[in-house]
Amino acid sequence: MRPIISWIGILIATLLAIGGLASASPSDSRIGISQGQKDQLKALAANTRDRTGRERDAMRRARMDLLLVYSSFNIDEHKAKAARERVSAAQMSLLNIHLDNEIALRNVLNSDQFQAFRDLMKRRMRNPEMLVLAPPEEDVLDRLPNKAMLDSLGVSADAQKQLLPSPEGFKAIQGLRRSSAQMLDLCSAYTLDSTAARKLIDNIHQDQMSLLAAQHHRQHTIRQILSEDQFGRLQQEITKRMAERERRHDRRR
Amino acid sequence: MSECAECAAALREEIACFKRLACLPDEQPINDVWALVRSRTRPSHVRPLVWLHGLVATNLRKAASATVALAVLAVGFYNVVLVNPQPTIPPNHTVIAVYSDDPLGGHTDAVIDSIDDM
Repeated sequence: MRPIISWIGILIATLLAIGGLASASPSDSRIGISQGQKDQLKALAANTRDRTGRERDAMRRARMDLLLVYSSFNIDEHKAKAARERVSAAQMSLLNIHLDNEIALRNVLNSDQFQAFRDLMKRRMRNPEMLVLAPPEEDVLDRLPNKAMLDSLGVSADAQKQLLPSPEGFKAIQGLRRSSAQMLDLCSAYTLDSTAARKLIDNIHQDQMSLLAAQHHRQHTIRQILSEDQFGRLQQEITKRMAERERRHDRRR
Repeated sequence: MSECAECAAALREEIACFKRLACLPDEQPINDVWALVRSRTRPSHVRPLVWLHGLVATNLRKAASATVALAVLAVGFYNVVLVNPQPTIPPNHTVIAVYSDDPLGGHTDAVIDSIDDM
């Protein structure tokens, strides 16, 4: 009986020791942060989500307004400029919110915790590859009129060439993708060079503005090639495509 | 013996008795009781509690055993619970589509999601 009692005593002592170690460990063992830091991160996430949500809503409204301006054969330049400026302002705000979030993250976490947090994110994201898409409101304007539609409208091959994607637009997309990737690389280091980050954000925004300018130019070219009647048929197709997209979007929700 | 007839008779009787005994066959019992007793009383080869008790019989040994057990468990706890082994990241990539209006949005959304999961 005595050996059993001895070993029960040793077992209890061991369990107590493990309990003590466990209670002394940080609140989140995955990245080793305290409860106070966790609260700060939660508040930061909530704030960033609110800010990005507001700016994305403003962006969608501005994009829809721009789509509406481009739905008329005679472009109201004043309204078009105002809508483009609102889109551009929302783009810049979103870029700044992302940078603010990165800086705030570093104010909460130390270097080791930040690295552990990044590893946690990497495990979730599995080294994502970025694919840059045009926003839906712009995408439909890029895609239409397509070749089938231009053929059916009797537009000549030479005229159709003028509507091919412009090298400026392609260059802007490539630049935007490159600067965004560099920005994400910069964000992976704890010692975030904020001057370099602001420079990259400016580059991204320049490319975004180039894309807006390229789209505006394309809209003018479309009106030079198509008659008002042909443009009316194009608009019917654009309206149909947007309605289909809305239905798909509603079904997903 | 030559003077005592009774003694000589007793001697002859003894010798005759021993001769008869010597003629008896060497009989073996059908059941060997001692074999049964030995099998029932033989100590078992492995007796963990007795073995452990022998190992930690004195206070000094008890303290040493407890220290070793604690050290082993603490190292195990540290390796298994506190230091998470890094799982290998599968080579297949996830493609994230981002809009040109908000190319960094996917990254910030992932940061927020990771915080939410804490």
